[in-house]
Amino acid sequence: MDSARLKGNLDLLVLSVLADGPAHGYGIITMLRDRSDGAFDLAEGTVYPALHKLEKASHIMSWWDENGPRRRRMYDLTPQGKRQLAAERKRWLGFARGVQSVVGVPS
Amino acid sequence: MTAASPIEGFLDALYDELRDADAAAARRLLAEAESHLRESADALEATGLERLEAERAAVERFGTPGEIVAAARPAVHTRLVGLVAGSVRPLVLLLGAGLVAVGVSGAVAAAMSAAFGSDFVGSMHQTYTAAACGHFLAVQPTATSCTQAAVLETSHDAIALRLLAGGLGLILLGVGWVWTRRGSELGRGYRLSPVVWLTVGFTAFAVAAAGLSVQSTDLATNYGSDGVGFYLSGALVAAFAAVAFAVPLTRRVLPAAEPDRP
Repeated sequence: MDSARLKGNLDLLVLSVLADGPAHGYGIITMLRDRSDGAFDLAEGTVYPALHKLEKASHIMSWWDENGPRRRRMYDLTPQGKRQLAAERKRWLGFARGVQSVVGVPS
Repeated sequence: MTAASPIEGFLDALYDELRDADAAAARRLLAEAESHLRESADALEATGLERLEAERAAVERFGTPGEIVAAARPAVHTRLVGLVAGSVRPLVLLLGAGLVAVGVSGAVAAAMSAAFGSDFVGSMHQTYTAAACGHFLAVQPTATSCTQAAVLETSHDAIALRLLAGGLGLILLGVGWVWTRRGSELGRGYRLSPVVWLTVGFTAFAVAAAGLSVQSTDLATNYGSDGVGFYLSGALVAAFAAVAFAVPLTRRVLPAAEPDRP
């Protein structure tokens, strides 16, 4: 997937990954790559500005996790983020259905 | 600066790119980047890569410092709005301060008029047309001559209009105060440096004080005390305001004196 299209949907993708539970930046990137079978392979560092923006919008919250060999910044959805995810998901599915019905399924 | 570790080198480069960013946000991004890169390099090393190769690959996957900083930067329109908002707030406060100074000069003119007579503030040393005289005599019915009516009217206007400007200035200062107290995100990070707006304020008031002083001196030289108060009231207030701006400006510009060491 081209990076511009990916970046345009990064908020939805990050919120979707966090719907499974708290994760740190590296974990989020790894899950994105694994769940997309390697299709979503964006510059890993660009996930942090996206995370910070989502936190500023109160869609996610974060804290430093000192347990473990390395200090990690953990992220989790807020109640507002869960509502945002539900709305974004609904919008995306509607859009995807529309595109699919126009483009059609390859025979 | 070169670093033996690709991760260290990347963090140095990212630090350089973030030099203009908000300090807390930059510190956090650097800490997260380091944690991410070391974890990524560990994972790659576990697949059999040499440590140096693993670090290089981790850095390559992370993206360039420029990419990260560009993604962190607000959208262009947000920056423009922020820049305008960040500049408008100090301008509102400066304009408010200027108008309040005009209002105070009105009060000073009123005090001068009461102490030294209306001529000290209102005498303009002009010849008036019959129509102007008619107007002055109509609005100042207690005057016994056109000149006296003109003096009374000029003096009255000098006080009333300046006090009105002062009231408007107080409203603007109130708007600026609420804007600051509300801590709006708009314009945050684009605020003018206090040195800039203190310099603008000091310069404006110092120039006004100098100009009005010249006018006062010119009048005093040519006509004696009549009309001097019109300009002198403004010159005194402008000089006081210039000093009020100069004191904090000097404190910020000049380095604090080192205490004597024993």
